Amino acid sequence: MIPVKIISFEEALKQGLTKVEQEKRGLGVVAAGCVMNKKTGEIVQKSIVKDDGTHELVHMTDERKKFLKDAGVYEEHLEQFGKILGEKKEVFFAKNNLKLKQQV
Amino acid sequence: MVSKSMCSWMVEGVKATTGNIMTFYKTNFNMPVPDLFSGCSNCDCGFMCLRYCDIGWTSQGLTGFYPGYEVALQDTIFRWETCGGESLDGYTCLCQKWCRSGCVMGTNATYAHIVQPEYYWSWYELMQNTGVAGWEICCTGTYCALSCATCVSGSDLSISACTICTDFAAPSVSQCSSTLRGSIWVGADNGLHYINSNCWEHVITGCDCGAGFGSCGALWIGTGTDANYLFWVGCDGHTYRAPWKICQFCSTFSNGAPVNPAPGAGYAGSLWMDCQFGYTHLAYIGCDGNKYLAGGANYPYVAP
Repeated sequence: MIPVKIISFEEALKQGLTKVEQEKRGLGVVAAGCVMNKKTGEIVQKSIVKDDGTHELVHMTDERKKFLKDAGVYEEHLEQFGKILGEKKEVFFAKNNLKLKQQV
Repeated sequence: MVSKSMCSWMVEGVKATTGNIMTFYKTNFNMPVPDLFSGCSNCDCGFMCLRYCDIGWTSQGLTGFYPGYEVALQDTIFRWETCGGESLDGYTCLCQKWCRSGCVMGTNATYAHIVQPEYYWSWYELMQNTGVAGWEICCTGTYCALSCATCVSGSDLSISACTICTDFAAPSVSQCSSTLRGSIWVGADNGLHYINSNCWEHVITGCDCGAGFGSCGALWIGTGTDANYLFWVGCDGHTYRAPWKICQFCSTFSNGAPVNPAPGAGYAGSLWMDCQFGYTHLAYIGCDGNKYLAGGANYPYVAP
């Protein structure tokens, strides 16, 4: 058994037993979305939405990528998509999607 | 005509397709939420394989609730379906609101860009919880969860609002003096009482482990088979063990906690009243050097 020593929250922060969270915490995930091909049942795109409004692409098929490119959507970002797809995860949308729309 | 639809629930908890469970009903405020959105998904069920206890359109007495306890989760799936010759390219604002008497007490909104050719589905799932507090469920009355999608630009992606209401009989949310914040004591009921950071009194009702040692009020962290549990001696001389503890993990939900700081066993036994996130649980360093959480409400990681 280990006797308890009650300390203040401020002391816990000072000793590094907990963290100042607003700056250092990972952003929470508050939503997620998918796009599916009805004929094949394949999920062609999946993204999660962080609590700061950013969307994080976690999956995109080559077919979907080609469609978006052919449609002229995200054209300026496709090169970045390629990098992202080769890595684990990375925020790819601007904080505000509307801003991205204007860029495209 | 493009098909647009929405499903919304007011539930006590969910089980994700990842297998992770998060119960909000009668649990401490803002406990870390496990990963709910990384599993598989379909347009009917979203990312959840189970939704526990749909309490929409019911009356809930909230017996045994204290301010600082969560009550319900609003879970909404927005869907768009295209058939032959149809396509979508537009921006929509997906919004959830908790309301009382027409006043909004919580909002969760996100923008989505829906781009799809014919014969496709797109869907988004959003979640937002609420609990007993002066700024949320603060008094007895009818509380509603609203969901809607509004058109921002491009294709019309709007989906009419869906409203789910429930009557809650809320406990008092009165707060005690801030000078008492952080006070911890063993009560005549043998429970471990504390004044949390929101100045509400919570009680951890312990599991009776039989005749103990030490005097009433002795407090320690267990080792061996009881490793990292919180123990105390009750006024009846028995040893009591907190019914649950959870090692800090990185929350995937809004305003969640960070990854466990794991300061090391040299700090074992340090205990403090959390003053971040939920403001309603005790935090301490266990014998393994990790940060643990314990509280007066129910364990959140099992079905309600």
